[in-house]
Amino acid sequence: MSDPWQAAFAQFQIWGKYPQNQRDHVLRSWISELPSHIEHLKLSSEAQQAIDEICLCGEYFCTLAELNFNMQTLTGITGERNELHFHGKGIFTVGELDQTKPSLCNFTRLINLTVAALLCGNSVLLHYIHPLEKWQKCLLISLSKSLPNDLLQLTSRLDWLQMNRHSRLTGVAFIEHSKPNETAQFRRLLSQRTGPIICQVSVSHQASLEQVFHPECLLPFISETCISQNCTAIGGNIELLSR
Amino acid sequence: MLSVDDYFSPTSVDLDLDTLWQNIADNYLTEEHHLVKQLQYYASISSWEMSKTTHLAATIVGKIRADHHHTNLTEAFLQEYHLSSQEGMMLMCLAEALMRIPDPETADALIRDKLTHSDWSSHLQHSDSFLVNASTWGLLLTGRITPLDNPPQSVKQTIKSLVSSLTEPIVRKALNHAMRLMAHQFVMGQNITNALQQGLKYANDSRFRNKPHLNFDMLGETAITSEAAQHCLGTYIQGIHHIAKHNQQNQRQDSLSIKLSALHPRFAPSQSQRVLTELKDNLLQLLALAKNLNVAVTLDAEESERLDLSLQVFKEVFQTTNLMGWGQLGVAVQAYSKRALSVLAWLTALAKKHHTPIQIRLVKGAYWDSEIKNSQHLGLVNYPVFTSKPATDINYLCCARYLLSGHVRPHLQAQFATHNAHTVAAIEVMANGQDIEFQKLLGMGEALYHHHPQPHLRVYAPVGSYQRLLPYLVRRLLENSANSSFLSAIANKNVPMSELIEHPVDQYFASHHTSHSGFPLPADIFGSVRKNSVGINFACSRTLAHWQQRIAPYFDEQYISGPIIDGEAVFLNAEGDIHLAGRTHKEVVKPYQLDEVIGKQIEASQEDINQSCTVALNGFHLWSQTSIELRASLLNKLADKLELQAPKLTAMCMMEAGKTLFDAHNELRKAVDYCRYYASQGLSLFHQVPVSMPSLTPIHWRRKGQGVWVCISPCSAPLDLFVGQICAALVCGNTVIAKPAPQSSLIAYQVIKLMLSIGFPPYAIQLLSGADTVAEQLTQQANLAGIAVTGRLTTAQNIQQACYRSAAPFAKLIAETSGVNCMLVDSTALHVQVVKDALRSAFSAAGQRCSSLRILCVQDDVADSIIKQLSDAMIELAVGNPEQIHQDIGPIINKETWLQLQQYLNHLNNNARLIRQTPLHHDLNGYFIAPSLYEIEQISDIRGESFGPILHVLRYEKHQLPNLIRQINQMGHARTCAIYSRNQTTINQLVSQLQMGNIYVNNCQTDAAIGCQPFGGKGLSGTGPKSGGPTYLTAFSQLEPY
Repeated sequence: MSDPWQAAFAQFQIWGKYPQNQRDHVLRSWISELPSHIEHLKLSSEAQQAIDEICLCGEYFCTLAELNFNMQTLTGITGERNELHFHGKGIFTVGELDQTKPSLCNFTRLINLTVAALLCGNSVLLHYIHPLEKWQKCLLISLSKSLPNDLLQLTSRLDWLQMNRHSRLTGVAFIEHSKPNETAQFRRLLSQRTGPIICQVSVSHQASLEQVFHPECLLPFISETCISQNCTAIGGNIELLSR
Repeated sequence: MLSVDDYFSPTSVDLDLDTLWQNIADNYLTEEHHLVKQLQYYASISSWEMSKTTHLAATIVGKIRADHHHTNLTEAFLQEYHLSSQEGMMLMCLAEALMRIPDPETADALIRDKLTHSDWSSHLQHSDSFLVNASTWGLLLTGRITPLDNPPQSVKQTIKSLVSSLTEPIVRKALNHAMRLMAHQFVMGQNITNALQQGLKYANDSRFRNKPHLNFDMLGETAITSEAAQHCLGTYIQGIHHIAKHNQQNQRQDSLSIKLSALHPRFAPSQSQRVLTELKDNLLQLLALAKNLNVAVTLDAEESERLDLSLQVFKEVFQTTNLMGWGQLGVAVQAYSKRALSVLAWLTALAKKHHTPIQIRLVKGAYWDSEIKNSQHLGLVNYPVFTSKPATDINYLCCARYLLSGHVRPHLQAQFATHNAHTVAAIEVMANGQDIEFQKLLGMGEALYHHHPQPHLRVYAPVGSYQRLLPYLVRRLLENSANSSFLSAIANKNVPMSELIEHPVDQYFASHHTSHSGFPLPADIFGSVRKNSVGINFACSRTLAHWQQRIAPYFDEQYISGPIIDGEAVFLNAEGDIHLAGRTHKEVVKPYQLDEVIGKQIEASQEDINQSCTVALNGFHLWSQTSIELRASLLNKLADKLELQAPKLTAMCMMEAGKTLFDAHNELRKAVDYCRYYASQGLSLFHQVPVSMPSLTPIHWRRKGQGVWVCISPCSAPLDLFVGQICAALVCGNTVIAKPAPQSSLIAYQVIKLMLSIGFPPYAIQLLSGADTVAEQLTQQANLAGIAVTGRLTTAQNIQQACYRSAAPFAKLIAETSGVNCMLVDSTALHVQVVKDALRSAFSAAGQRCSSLRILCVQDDVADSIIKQLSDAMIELAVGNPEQIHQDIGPIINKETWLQLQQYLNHLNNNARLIRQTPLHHDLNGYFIAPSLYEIEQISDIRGESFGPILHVLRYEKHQLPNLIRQINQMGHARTCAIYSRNQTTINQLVSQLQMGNIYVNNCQTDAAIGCQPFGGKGLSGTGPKSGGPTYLTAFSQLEPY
């Protein structure tokens, strides 16, 4: 495999600058086409439920992003234009702390976290070590194909802890361990990193779907840039006098 | 305060000069509508006069409109490309920047940027002028390579194909030529000799029935270096000699205009003492020469903040015996200024007192847009200028009547500068046969004075290189092509005659029924959402003196700081006496006067830390149950109280943090803005209905606080960030333990006391003062909901690690850390603007802000010029005791940083090229670092964060820009970056490539306005969300389903 970090970073730089509407469009298209990608498969009711949940969350995330993350013009001083732009933070790793046995619920939540991170303009290294069922493979392939190459990378070979020590990492989205100490230990590990303080998004597997993915669940995945432009005459523009 | 009627009383000329001077200050920011109502009578004294004026104006306008041949190129151009068109704006930008760009590549890019993004085809065949009718500016200029009468494809296509790589050199040459043609309309000559020759031809032109006199203006903006000021003085002296000789040889009375700000590198109110001493001698030398050679001189009007100082300088020179009785010295007075009439009254009394008439050039004013922006930025109580054109016109007419009054005429000799037919008509009617002089700008108002010739006309004729012309040109074009201007309106055939000749009084009262029907006041720019904080008009000498008096007593007091737990200062006994037994404490000294103790800081003990956590934890439930309305109202109350306590807190900020008066007061204003912004945001957020995930069981959400937040603030912003963090946490229903920086705990203590006094419950806010170890111990406490820290990256990292040493669950962390902030300058940028903003961004607050500029990256083609100006301007900076008003830069706040900076300077001395270090006085007794400018070869020459007045400059070649951006991004310090360019395509590209929290375009990067410019970095510069922005409070609150 070529350096997944470099590829992820290169993709983030492009994807992160897409307007929010465009990212919404990509993910909404994937959600709407997802049933057609798996229609040839025989699904268990649990699997169908998981897919429904992924679609529900994805739609919801898109709605939230559309509502909140389009550029905002901020009221201010005459002769200045202030805009607040929202975009991705960088590369997120997504994974579960307890990797002892596969769980459909965890898989679903990992996909939800992945979609949330992607929708906000990040690239994602999804860590999942368990064997995938056919529908899971189909789902991941279709998601990956609907996105620019390497924006989403699935890895089982890389070591989860090593991944979270990487200097290019900007955020971790993870499912907490059932043992709180293990989760605490992981967080301590993250705090030992040198360089920027990274974003941690954790999901408890005990909480309900609605509680985990609440109306502000996308905010940790988002980064803001404020652009202030002087519009007075000597500032280079001349809008004030033409009002 | 005198009324307008008082000025028109013949006895007003006998009023005391001091009273009249006070009256100027009274009118500085006076209420507009009230003033206009007083002025209206004198602008339209009788219906007979009004109807006569209207009749005359109609005749003039009729003649101008009927003449299709007399419109000159400039006027034709303005007709077609007025400011309301995108193309007009583009051309203005091009005109302003093109000629100063030395490298062809950047010039071509600018041309591409401006010419290919507009709809030129909409201007085809609009103008009556052949030249303009050539269709578009671009086609006009490139007419030689494209047949004009047979435009291929569409105009847009044509221009796009013209601006291609093959034809770029031709287009550039053509456009440069065209800009020169354009400039030629406004400049009499590139030097005085040439200008006098051209002027003679101009005056003898057959279009003028009476030969106009000329008033020469040596082009040049404000000087920011002594060299520029000296050069300007030399130019003026030379100009006087040449004009005198020319006048004598040709029996003319041509004159000269002088810009005071061009004669001194620090012509600013804060430097008045220095200006009055240093400028006076030079000016006197100049005026004595002018008097000896009999060349009339007028002092030009400038920005309103310079008016006080200009008048003081004028008075100083005017009353010297040398100039007594001369009568050829004058002043320009701007009618858009609310002080115009009071200035005239003061000048009348001055002239009378010294038995010497003063020449008055009455103009309308050319700095309107920056005056409006500046007033809002400073939070002034009102504007110094009228906000509507009719109000300015009314004031103009009123001033004209005053100048024509019998009791004034012997003392003030008026020259009326206008291009407006109605104004000319009104003055003529008012004058009722008296001799009057009109003035016009070269290149403007040609048709007006051709069709309505005046016996006495003077033409304001700029002299200088076309490059120097640019700022002047843009101001003139803006002034005269603005939608509201007469020149723009007369050219627009859709504007009916009745509108052109409508009296300004009628115009004004048709749209202004109340005081605030026009422009919002600076306090009201955020509408009903919140009030803008009140600023102090330090440009007004009376206000400044008054403020100095108000803060003075606080410099003599002793202050204390220590833990406040559950509303009690734990180091005070029941009698209120300080009880230090067993407590660690230290004396606090002024960082600029190390032998002056200003107070004591008592360190929080482990017991205090534990106790504060218990109180805060126990109090959380109660506080979170209070209504958002109550919490928001407390924040608003705090804002009001901070404003009331402004003198004390400002003084403390100066003493403890070593800030200058301006910086300290600015800090206070931001604290006030934080309170009001978070109050309004809190209300809106807590009332918002979140969008839930569609599900079978509908979920409702309730927003609430999270628990106990620890707020750790930095010493660089002892008031604003301290207040901002705790207010954000409190308004969301959290209880707060505040830990201010050890270097600024006296101020923090005052703020917490203030909060308790206005009704914040004692359990809601605790204060723990002391060293950084207190913060580390505090953040290891269990059950904290969150930690907000602003400071160095290492501080934030240590705190995170300390926090994770405690038992889970861990507190949430919001870290705002510093940046290695850059400014990117390409060769289209305006040099003076770059230098001024670089000085301010790098050195104000001694460069200790997290947003302070560290690396100035300049395109090689203009680097020499910009670096030289910057380096020379640094000599003029005043570093010293910030209690002295003229000091620009105070000390570093503490010894540790000072020592680190000294070490860093040693590193730079070995690894970079020192360009300039501002000289320091040898008797300073504090942690002062001389503002320093070093040239570096590459970004990697910089070693980490240095919080001080040290600026690195880096040259780059245009083709290296992408690599430079990569290096800037790779540093990982994504805090702020400023871009100085006139090329919007370049700006857009840079904005999309820079990974920064805040990007400023042609704007100073250190003064983020709360709510308008949410502030915070990424990567090594912080975690987000941005403080003072719409998402900040979400981090301090949570949604709870019910």
